[in-house]
Amino acid sequence: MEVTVLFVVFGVLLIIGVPVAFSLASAALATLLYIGLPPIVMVQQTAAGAGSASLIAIPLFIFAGEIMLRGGISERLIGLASSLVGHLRGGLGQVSVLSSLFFGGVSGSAIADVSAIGSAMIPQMVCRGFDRDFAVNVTMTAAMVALLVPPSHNLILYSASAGGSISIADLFAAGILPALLMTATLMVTCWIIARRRGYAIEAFPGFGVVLRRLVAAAPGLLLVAIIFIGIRAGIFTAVESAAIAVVYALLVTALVYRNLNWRDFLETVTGAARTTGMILFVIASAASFGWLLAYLQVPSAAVDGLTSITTDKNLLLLLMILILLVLGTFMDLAPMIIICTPIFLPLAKAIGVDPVHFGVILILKGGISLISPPLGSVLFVGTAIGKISIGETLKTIWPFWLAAFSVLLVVTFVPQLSLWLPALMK
Amino acid sequence: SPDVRILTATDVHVKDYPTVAAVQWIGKQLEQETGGRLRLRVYHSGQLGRESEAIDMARFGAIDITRVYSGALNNAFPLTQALSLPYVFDSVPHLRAALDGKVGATVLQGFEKRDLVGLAIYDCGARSFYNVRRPIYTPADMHGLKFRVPASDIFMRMIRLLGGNPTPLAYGEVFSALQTHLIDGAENNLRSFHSSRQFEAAHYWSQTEHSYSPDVLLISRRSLDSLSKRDQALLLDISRASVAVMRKLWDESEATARQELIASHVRMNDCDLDAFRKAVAPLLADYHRDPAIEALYREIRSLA
Amino acid sequence: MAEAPIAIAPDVDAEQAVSEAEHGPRTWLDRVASLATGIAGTALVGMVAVQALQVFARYVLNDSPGWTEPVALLLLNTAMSFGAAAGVHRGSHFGFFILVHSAPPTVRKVLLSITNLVIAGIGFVLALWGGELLLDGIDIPMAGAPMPQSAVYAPMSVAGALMVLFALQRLVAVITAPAASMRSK
Ligand code: NA
Ligand code: NA
Repeated sequence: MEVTVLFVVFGVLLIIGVPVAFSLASAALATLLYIGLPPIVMVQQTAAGAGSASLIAIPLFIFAGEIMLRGGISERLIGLASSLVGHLRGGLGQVSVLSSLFFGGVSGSAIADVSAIGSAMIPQMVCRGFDRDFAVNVTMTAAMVALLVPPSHNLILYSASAGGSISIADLFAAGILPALLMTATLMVTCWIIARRRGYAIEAFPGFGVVLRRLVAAAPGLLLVAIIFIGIRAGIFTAVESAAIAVVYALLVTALVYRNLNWRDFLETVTGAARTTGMILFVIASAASFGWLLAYLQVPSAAVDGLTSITTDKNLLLLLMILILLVLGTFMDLAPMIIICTPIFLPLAKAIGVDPVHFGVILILKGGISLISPPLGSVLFVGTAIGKISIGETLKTIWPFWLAAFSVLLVVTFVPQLSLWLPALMK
Repeated sequence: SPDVRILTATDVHVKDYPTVAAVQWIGKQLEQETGGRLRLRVYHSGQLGRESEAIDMARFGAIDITRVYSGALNNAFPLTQALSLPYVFDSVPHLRAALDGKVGATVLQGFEKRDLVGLAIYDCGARSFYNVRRPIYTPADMHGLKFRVPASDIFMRMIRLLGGNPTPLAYGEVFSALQTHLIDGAENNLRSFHSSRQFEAAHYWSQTEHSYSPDVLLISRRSLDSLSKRDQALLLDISRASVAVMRKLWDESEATARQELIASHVRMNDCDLDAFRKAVAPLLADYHRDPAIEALYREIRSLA
Repeated sequence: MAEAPIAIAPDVDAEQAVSEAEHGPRTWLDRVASLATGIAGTALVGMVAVQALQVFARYVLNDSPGWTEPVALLLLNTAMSFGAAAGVHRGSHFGFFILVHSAPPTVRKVLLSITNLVIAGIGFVLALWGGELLLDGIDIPMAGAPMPQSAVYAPMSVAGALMVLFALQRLVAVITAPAASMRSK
């Protein structure tokens, strides 16, 4: 009954048009009152939901993106990319996918990824004649690759939630091939959609132009290099790199391009602050909702129900993924891993799934949840940066979603894809 | 049945961790002794949030029992600082003797001022330094190395006094930071060093044994008061008895962790502990200004 | 570009029009909302400064201050809370508005009223219990930084109160709006 209160209040409020964050908070509040727990927990968990240091990267990358956009860094970067791949069908979409793979190799976070890549790519893609929904959808789905290319703090969290018996080095190695498969699949999807929508192809402008654009984009490329090398060499953390990106972008825009006056700067700050408030408030409110899901032991009830239905290994695995997908749409990624790992991993082990393999499945599935309504954080960041409604995005996201889901199925039922590299490295 | 009362307990550690197992043991005993009338539901693995939040949840009555690291309590319950100070305990037997006597009782009583009742103190071994660079024998070997510190004023000062560069970092970022050499090292007890898998990135474990700050098991004052006098006494008795259960599990699991670390080629070395004691002495002098902490400190040292 | 409202809430334009018709171009609440955005923006810039300082201190001073992480988290909470409050004023929070879009004007009026009441209610709860949590831990020093442990609840509590004001303003605008202006576009 308590679970019903939680979901019904949330669902009804959401349908009648109450914003997501307030629907979540209201559902949590109503359920706490119904159970007879002190409702102050809702406020405490909302603060706790925004109390994680890794979240700092989100507003800072959005801020950096706004400066790069306004000051012309993004335009020159994409100008270069466009002269290189513009003659390919949907070329900029492919660039977005590859940038995500590349950036994911340092950030470790899908939300940081979509904040950083999205705020540089989406407006530029729209400028060059791509539909807004396409630009947003490509960038959002590509961001989930970041979860699987090492480093991935979600895989570290999984290892910790599993009690530390699973090697993090193995998990990192296991994520690589699935990440590459996902990248390839999304690039193909991108190409097919670009063909169907008949996006124009630019003629190759010649090497002279490419060279000129390379020089123009050099400060932007240097920023990419600084972030990549800085994190890889242990000079700063992914979160700190976001601040470095802001400072660098400000310096380049103000001193090199001379393209940013005080008024522009204030507008940039204002825009980034507004986006930050909307995105983080949903993530924070989701924490109290997630707290109740855990308190009411919803994941364990789901596992109990599952094992009473069937004992067939493959069917169990498939149902397990589906349940996790549904749970994942109501929880943010980190709480989903913390709450679901101790409950689902024992069942996975019991039906013979390797814990390293299960980690990859769980994180990949988490990535799909991040772009699924009603509570996908990447969906919120992507649509906020792309200045488009969630509804419009959802109308055309399904080919990307299906592509990602197919990769999830392949990764789930072909364990070698995850386990071959870790075995090779031993 | 309406007579059944389920108490909720939280822990940030995983299901088979000694503290979780000890609390689950308490639950079993309670159920047996009361014929199933009184039960425990344990939320492990941090499912209901971090330790700092759990303390307040217990105070407000959202949960009943919680197990937290005493280092996280230093500022809200200053008496616990006496347990967290570097080199107050000489060895595990010294620590256990102190916790079983007046020291333990005093610290447990200190929780009453914020609507909590201390049920038990679980000791969780000595904390030592580990790093990616080299073995540490004396404080001089720490010079120039960056060590991650938890948000604790005591640890921050201690690392400075030892010559290291304290680097505040969220716990979740430690593994990657060790791997990229953003930090050179960190400190923890042996079992957490093992279960966090940080030994995959940091291969040098130096037995500095600089702190023994233990875990504590707390119950909400409100929750305890809502039980009958008999049940209250029963819960307190069983909780005290769980300390022995936890210690046995701890010692076993620490030994297993040590074996597995050695098998994973972690280099372990002993240290010149006197040199470390001398280096941190100025820190102790500061805390001695508080008469309550000073009294506890004297009591602890008298048992050495 | 930053000024362009993110077209997520269907009622932004309608209500903005209503608000302007009723109260003139800028009410004192509009100024309060601008102030909230300014606070959020300042917190954002502060986060950049603190993170950059952390890197600087680590390499140049070879000694990291302990206060950077707690202060950065406080600033994060400030940016979130005041940004979210400003989001209530602009009606720009994420949501699913298909039903509101397709409803006839009267039903739409009712739904928007309920929505703003719910927002005001949550704002009230954040203000009230956020304040209580702030007072509860006010005498406990935070580890690493010279401020109370419960300082994070301060921005949340103030922003909650602002949410109440902004939601009530929108509620009044919805109730007093003529049916014609409530029509969906
Ligand atoms: Na990554
Ligand atoms: Na989700």
